[in-house]
Amino acid sequence: MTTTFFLFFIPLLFIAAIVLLLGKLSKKIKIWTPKRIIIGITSYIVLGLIAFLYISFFSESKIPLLSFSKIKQLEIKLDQIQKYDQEDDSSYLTEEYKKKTWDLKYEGNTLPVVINEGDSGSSINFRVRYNDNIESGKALVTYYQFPVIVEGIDLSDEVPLPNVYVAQNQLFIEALSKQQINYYRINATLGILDMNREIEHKPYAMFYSNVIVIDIPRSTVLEDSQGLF
Amino acid sequence: MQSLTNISLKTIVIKQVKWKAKLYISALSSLVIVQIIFGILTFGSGSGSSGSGQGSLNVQFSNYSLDMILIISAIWAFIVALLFTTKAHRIDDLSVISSRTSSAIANIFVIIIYSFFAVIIMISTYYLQALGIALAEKNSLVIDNLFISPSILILCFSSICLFGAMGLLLGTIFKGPAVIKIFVSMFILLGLILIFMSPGSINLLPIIMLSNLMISVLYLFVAVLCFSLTIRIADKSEVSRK
Amino acid sequence: MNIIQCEELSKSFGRRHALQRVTCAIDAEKIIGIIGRNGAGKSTLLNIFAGYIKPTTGSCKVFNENPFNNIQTAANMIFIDDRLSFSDYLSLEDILKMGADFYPNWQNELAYRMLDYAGIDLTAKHQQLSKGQLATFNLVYGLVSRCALTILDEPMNGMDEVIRTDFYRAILKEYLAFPRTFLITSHHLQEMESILEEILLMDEGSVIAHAPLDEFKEQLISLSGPSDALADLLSETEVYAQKIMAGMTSAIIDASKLFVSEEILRAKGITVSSLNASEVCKYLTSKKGSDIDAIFD
Repeated sequence: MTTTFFLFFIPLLFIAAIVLLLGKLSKKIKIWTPKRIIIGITSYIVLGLIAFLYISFFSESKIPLLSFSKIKQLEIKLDQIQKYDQEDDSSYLTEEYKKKTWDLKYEGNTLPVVINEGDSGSSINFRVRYNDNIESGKALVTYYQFPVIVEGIDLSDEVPLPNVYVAQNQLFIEALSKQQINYYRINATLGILDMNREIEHKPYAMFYSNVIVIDIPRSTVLEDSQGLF
Repeated sequence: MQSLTNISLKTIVIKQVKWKAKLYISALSSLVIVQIIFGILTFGSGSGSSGSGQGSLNVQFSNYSLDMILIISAIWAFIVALLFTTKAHRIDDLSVISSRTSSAIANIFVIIIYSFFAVIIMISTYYLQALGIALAEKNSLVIDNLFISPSILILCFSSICLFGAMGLLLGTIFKGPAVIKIFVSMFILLGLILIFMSPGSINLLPIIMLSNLMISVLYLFVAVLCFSLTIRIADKSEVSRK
Repeated sequence: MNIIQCEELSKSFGRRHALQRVTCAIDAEKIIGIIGRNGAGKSTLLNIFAGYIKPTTGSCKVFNENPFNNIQTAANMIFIDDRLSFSDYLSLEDILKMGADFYPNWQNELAYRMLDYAGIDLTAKHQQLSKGQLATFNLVYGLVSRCALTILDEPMNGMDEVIRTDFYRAILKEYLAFPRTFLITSHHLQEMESILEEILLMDEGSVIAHAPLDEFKEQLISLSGPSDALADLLSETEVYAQKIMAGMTSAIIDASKLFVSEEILRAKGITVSSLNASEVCKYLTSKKGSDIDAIFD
């Protein structure tokens, strides 16, 4: 109720004040003859038209919006990923989603892992793969990034990469702090109507936990003090 | 005896509309100024913003839709229509050939004409604001929908018209016969009590779920109802110049 | 032919009775003065004629139609008083343009000439005019619109004497050029007398006299002479006012109730003199026995 009050009555009072004030002022200021007011209003309308033409011709959005069918495709893909993931089938970790690989070196046969997710709120799944093709003293850390779709925009590229490094013979994986992104969207419709009507329209947000796969030789023992694996 | 002049109501209404539309023009200029002020106030946030956190992303959307300027225009129409029925304007009407009926009908037409212009001014404000955003935030601009669909325009027009009609009706009621005044005051009071006692009792969702055109038709229907009531009450009203 | 016909017209505002059972008929093409004290109901009556307010009971017909909220009445009637107002955006010139647009018999050139004569600047705004100029402009507006029924409610209020005299002549000239019905109320009856054909006298919500000016004036006469000679005469008739001074009495009485011829009166040393309209009005409407002096005694 209070929100309705503020949304409706405050503007009401505000507009009433402005309209009354202008009414009084226009009587005092003699330059505002009807003719001049009409010219003023007409030029405002013309300005609006020019603005419209300018935007429609010269202002291209650099952020592509995904089409509805594209979103549907991605939805299916993400569903499949989830299915594979639940079955511990890592075949979904394809080249397509591979974002970055770190080639790291360490000494000895044990590698303690310290994961610091901080306040980033990121959710990364960790996998360990014993790989016979890797020499001892080496580890491959691969970061897989799945599509992140928020309100029809693909944000995959915006997700910050984690920091991965070896220090003091320990593997550190640190997620970067939260990334703030602002978008300004021009949608020439009535939001109140769309919000209530299009309940089953495009999903609001789609994403799937990103995965970090650590490939290490069989001889190495990964020490996991945080119990993440 | 000199022959009497015979002038039809229609002729007088047309003349009154012509003069009133010109003389009340400051109403439209106030709309422009109100919209510029609100346009600047909402420049950073638009009509509303939505945020969402996705993993390590915090995404904030500022949505620039027509909602805010439509609400402002509707409120403006209500206030302006109310002002049309005030003493100053009513007395001005007496200086030329007019009856309460002709003045009421003329006011209605002026409100309809002004609603039409209000929609155009609204569009102008919207695109001017959009242009500002497009220039200021070139890199994070998302264009969902640049063209306002005709059905939305009709809906805007009918909403503004409806609020104007309500303003005229309310203004006329409080200059009309005492019986109607008391009746309507009671009605409004009961309505307000109902809203404050149980806000959930009014459910607008079924209306919102209708198509744009259906909502417009519904709004215009209510507006016409208000207009005809305005004329009926004006018919019965005396001139009060106190 | 009557253009206004009222039957048993009453109007009350709450408990106050502004008009009580007024019955009158007003002929077309006459200049009629509506006279009365403050609060006599003149404005109420005029407002009913103009169709602005509805009578509580009784009927009123203007041009054979009910005037209330009637566009035909509005088209043939103009009501000029000091509350006439125009939009703030209009200069006097624009107002004349608007008048010409609405009133079919509008005389624009005449308006220009009259305003020029009165020295009123056409580029000024209506609400910027001084009180006298405002009244002058409103009167001009009422005259050049040439409506079959022109109602002027206190048209000369605030004007200086020269302009007043000029505009009484203007009303008369306009009347001759385009005969129509003028209803004029004014406190300056004496000045106005010369142009009036009829007088409608109102008091306390009713019409107490409605007659041509000459007849109206002859209603009352003034007698003066020795007190003893007059005493008998006065005891038989209604006395409107009486003054006794040093054995001489002067009294105002109803002429129709004086059945003694002038010769007999003269023989008794009584002189008969007529009154002017304004005096007649004063005596007809003054409350019997009321005297401002009494308050201070």
